Amino acid sequence: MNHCVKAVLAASALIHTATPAFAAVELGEHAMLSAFGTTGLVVTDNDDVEYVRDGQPSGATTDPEFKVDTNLGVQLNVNATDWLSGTVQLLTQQRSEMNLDTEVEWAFLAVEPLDGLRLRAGRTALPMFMISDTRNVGYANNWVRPPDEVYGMALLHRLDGIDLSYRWSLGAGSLTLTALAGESEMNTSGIEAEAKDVRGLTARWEGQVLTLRAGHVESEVELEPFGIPGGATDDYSFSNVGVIFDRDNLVAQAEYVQRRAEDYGQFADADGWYVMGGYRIGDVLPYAIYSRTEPEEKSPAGQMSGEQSTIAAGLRWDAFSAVAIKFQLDYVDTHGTPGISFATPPLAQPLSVLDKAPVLDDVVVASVAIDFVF
Amino acid sequence: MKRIMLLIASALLAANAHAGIAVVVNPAAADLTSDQVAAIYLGKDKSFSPLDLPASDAIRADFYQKATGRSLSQVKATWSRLMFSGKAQPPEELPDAASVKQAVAGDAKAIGYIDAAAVDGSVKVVLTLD
Repeated sequence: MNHCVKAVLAASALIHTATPAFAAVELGEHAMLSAFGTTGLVVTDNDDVEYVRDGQPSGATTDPEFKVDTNLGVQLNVNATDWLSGTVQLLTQQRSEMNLDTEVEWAFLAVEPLDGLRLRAGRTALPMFMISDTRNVGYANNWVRPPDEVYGMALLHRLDGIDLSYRWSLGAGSLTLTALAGESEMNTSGIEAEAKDVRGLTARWEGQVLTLRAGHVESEVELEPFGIPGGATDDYSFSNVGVIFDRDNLVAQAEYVQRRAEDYGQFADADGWYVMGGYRIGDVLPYAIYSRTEPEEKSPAGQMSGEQSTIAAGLRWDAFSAVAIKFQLDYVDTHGTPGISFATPPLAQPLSVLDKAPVLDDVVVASVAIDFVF
Repeated sequence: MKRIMLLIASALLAANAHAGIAVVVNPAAADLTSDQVAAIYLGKDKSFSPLDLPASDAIRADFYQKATGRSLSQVKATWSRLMFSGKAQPPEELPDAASVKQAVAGDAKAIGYIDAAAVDGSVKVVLTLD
């Protein structure tokens, strides 16, 4: 067993003995060490294809698999002064490699010269979605994992660059506008491509019960790794709107995203959306999610993702302080395409490395996860 | 059945053991509305630095329920979103009402909540939750 996995398992065992509030470790007056993690197990009813999230190379079959959802994040915050701070977050999870792998997810300096104005420089999460920056923090979310029909569509995840935010009161809440610029890396089906000239704008309004969000991110992705020589790039864009409602015991959340490419749209263009609803009963939150993704053009070869819809039902149980236990059942239909959540073998005579075999049957996925923060 | 009734009764008594919860700030600080207090304790308003009592103190759960309408685990999930996106740090936890009063008296941006019976002239009450 990989040593990282042991660390995650040991960490999740540890939280059962230590249950104070945020047991983050204060290092002197200005620094704080905190961590989050998930130990998850996934099993499906299908041995022909492997169920994955975020384009992982291998995943779950009828053999239970823990690499799909298991992760561990460690974060160091240093507040040098009122207006200057630094954040570094290391995240261990299964990425494009077959085993768990640790990478620097966040590393930025933040400057807040005025109340509400913030400039960040370094590595941050690219805000493609409503919860891009906490998509990997299981405890911060009600579901076991973000619906792959939407969150699996982003091929860029991180921004190396700067962003500038301004937040002010508007109505019964606050509005935050963010502009960003920098570069990123596209990582899909084992292909790595540079994404240059990443720029984006997001707006987020947060009230007592309602959060509204819209965003647009564009970048120039190099095409050579996809077999198109000559140093060409394509303009790849991502637009998103989302809403979160949380009042008393009722929670609801929905998002709609569009992925577009200017020159090679027939491979990249796709839409995705989900709706999620739940009702809190004490420490238990049962929820249901419907999510769907559809390419703009039906089944040309070499598409980045196929058609897929999932009906999910789950339960979050806040069992202990800082520990949530979750169960989720997913019924996944790929409509005869390779879908988006499956690692399938490439076709025998692939037109492109992206040509994956279709998933022939509907797949039932069962998941259990223990999320913690400390 | 009798035992269960007793348990419920004693739980209710424990929950009502304090007279009320006072939300306190520095005497020099401006007044706050209940919406502002909720926004500060949910990390949406950064104009004040919130202080917490220990999770073992019954006032804490009571305060969050009344001020924000959320349970402690909901509040913790909210702060974990802010923390792990590097946006904000959760409220600093102090051991008791005396240390909250001391911190609030010495910092114009600090805000805390204490048993209303523990209020004295060193702090200003902006909100009382019964």
